[in-house]
Amino acid sequence: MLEISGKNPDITDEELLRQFNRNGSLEALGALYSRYMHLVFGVSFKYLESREDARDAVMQIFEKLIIELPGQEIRIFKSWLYVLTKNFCLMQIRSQKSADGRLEVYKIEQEFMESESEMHPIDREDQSAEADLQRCMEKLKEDQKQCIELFYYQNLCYQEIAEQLGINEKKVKSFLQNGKRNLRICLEGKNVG
Amino acid sequence: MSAKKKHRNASEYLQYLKGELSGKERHSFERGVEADPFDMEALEGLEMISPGEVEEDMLSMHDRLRKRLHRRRRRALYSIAATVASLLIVSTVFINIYDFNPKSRKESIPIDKSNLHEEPGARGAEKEEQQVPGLRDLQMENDNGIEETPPVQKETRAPEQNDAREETRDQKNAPVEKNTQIEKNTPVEKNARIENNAPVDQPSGDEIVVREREAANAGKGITAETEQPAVQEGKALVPEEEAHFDKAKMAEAPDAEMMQEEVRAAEAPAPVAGQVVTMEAQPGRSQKKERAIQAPSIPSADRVSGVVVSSVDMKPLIGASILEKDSDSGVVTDQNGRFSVAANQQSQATVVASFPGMKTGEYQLSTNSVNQLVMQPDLAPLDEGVIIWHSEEKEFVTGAEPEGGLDALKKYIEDHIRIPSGDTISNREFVVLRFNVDKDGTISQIESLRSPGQPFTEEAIRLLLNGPDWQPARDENGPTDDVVRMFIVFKK
Repeated sequence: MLEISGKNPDITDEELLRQFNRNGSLEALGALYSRYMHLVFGVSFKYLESREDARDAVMQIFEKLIIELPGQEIRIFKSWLYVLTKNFCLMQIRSQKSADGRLEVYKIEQEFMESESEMHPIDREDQSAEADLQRCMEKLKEDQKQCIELFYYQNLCYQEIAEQLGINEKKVKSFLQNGKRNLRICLEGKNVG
Repeated sequence: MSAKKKHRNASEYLQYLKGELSGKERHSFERGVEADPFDMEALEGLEMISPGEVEEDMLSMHDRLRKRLHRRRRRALYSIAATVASLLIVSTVFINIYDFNPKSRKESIPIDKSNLHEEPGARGAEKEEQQVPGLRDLQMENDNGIEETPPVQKETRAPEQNDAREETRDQKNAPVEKNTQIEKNTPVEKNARIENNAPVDQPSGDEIVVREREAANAGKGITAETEQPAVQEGKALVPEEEAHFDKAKMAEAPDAEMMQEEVRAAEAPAPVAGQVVTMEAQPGRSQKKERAIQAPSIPSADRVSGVVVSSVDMKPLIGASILEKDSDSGVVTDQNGRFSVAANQQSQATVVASFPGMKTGEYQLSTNSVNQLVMQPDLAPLDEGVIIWHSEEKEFVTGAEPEGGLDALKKYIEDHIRIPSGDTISNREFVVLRFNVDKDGTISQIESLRSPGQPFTEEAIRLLLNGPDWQPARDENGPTDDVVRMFIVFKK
């Protein structure tokens, strides 16, 4: 059903981008975009809180791509698309607000930027600093530590962790997030001394 | 883990959302998601919708995308057709209306009906594959989210329209009306209908037109920002008869030109369309050359808009801060470098634009012109390698600083900076980070405000965290929190 997104899965994003840049092949761009459309949609929905608006956003963002891609030096299409998507949604939100709502919206953006994060050490392939990681793990709050352990070491899914700890999935996720943040700070040597 | 590298496609998402995966599979999916903020946020959003609806939405979007790709090829043709159409309108008004109306009406009625049929839930399953181009376009509009598309009035047309049109021309701002709207007012007809136009209680006629033509987001009032959908609509209007027909119905003169303009804008979308749209509303109804000015826009003079570009390449600057001088409000430029702010009584506004790496400047804007804010690069920081700003909300005795001062940080960065491998940089790239320096000197909440890509962001953060420790900011009461923005340049 959703075959489009699987179309030629062997062709890399970069190759598709090149095709688009070389001869403006919309087909190539479409194939590339459809790989990420569900993500664009999910993020759009998160901000716009309407399926309808989110669907529209997905199409409008595609139009933006057509305009903005040429001439851009893009390393990782996915990250770039992520930023574009978020910015687009913010603009949408802003345009929906009345004039006096502008300041508020401005703040939303500030907050929202904070959610942007980079690849966490624990998510990387090479967890070379295993010992450091362990040491930092010890410093975590119990909840966070448990969740990280169950998730990253016991390989349990959110659901299972939630059941095991008797908390809901949302909590699991937030413990994971916070735990990871603290881990990172610790790993980067800030709290370790 | 292989799952981490792999991209999770829509089907996998659906399986996950529907709970079709085993615990192990779920874990590996989640593990991958955890490693990518885009996935994280997307999943967050998707989990708020039922899986069935997600699936439906996905199908409908793929469908729309496919149609969009298909349609693009006809664009050139359409623009020619539209041009011809508008020229014809200008010259041979009467004949056109008599000749074309009946035909086009016949065509468009069924179209709208079919739209109606599939309107509510069926958009995921638009089955009609091949249809007349016009129909397809209209469907697309429908997809785009018009909440209601009352059947186009069947009783429209009539010779009187000509007079009527003259009338409307004379009403300055005479809101360009759209068919459906007219319908709502009353099932009236002919000139009576047209007279009704003006009093419609909609915010502004121009805007309505824009919306209607953009056909996207009827409810959202997106006007200036979305030039793209306008393109689509332009196309929808293309076939000659239709163009005439619409025109007649709208009883609206400059419209044809606007159509044309839109289609043109489609051809060279980036700068033209945007600026055009944000310009002042001019009732330029005498079909003269200055099409650009007739572009649909918000008629009131209470907004000033502009576009911020870099003097280096004249490309738009995205995310530039625009502060209104007389108030505390601020906006940020959008993906096309555009923004708009409230105007004062003189239809002007003074704003201060700032952007990392550019000289902050004050600009006088007026509603009567295209406000292009050309920002000059501030070469100092680019050569400095690193520069920091402090929280603008607080008054410090001293802002947070790296130990040994900015020079120490600079030195550290110079010595340790690594251009991410596998990345070639054309000239200079920069990353802007923002982070808190708490009153005990702890750095937290690091985020990337601008970056050419993840590897650069990571490198910048690495430099920040491994570099000199930070001294907290101080105000009269002692150490205090500061929010620092740091600008790091990657040079070849």
